Amino acid sequence: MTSSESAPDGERAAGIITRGLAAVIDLIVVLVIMGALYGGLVLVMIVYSPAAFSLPSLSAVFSTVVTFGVAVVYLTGCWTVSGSTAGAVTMGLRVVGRRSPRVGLFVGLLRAVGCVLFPIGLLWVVVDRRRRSLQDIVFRTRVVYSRPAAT
Amino acid sequence: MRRGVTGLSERGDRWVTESADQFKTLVASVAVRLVDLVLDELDLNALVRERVDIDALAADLDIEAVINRVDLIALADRVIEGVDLPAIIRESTNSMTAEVMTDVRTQGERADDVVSGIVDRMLGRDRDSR
Repeated sequence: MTSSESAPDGERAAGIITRGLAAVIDLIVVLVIMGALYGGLVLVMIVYSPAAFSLPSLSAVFSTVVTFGVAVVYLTGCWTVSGSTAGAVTMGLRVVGRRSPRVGLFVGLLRAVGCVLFPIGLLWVVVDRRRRSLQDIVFRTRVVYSRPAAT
Repeated sequence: MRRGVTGLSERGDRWVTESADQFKTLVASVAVRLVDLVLDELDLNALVRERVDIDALAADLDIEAVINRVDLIALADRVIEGVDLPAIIRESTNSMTAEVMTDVRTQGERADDVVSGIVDRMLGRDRDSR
């Protein structure tokens, strides 16, 4: 462990492997949510017009916009409520503010938009001395290893 | 005279009968105490081990008949009732999941450190002086 990877409160910044795996898990979660939404749409169509039912073909733009919206809402909600998405919980990570243990709603929303629009920014973690992504640098957040409370 | 002999004879019979009962009771109590004393002195377990071929006896046992007389399903139900199986499964599953999660996190953290070390060497950074 190096001093630059540790925050003043002793929490270590997470590296690219754990954060990358967490991002993959979150992507899967978003895709599952999208699948559930599509399934719900199909069910609604069956209920309201069973005779004229055919599988809906959604436009690429519509699907992209909805996926973007779902991802942003999911990330913002998780970061502001608990600091951890499903992927972060799995990998033992937590997103914290510069001085607070939680990310504010506005910062969380902007960070989520940044992460969804420019996911490649995560790769900056590899070369940054303090293991920050581009989004972390811009929005002054950190991703640290979350340790279970000592009993 | 004859009447006196008959009375004497009847009295004798009664005496013999009563005496025989008392004697039997006395003998029985003495025998019981004697057997108790003998049994106290003997180690029956050791005696059986030495004198009895338990394996041969066990080999002659009709286990099938014993099993047929037992309601195995009811017995199994009682055993399962006594063992809190759901709690055991729950605990083992929870501990297994927790171990796997801890392992994944630890391995991920190590992988992070390995990547950081490689990048530090590639960029010529001195990790200790950072």
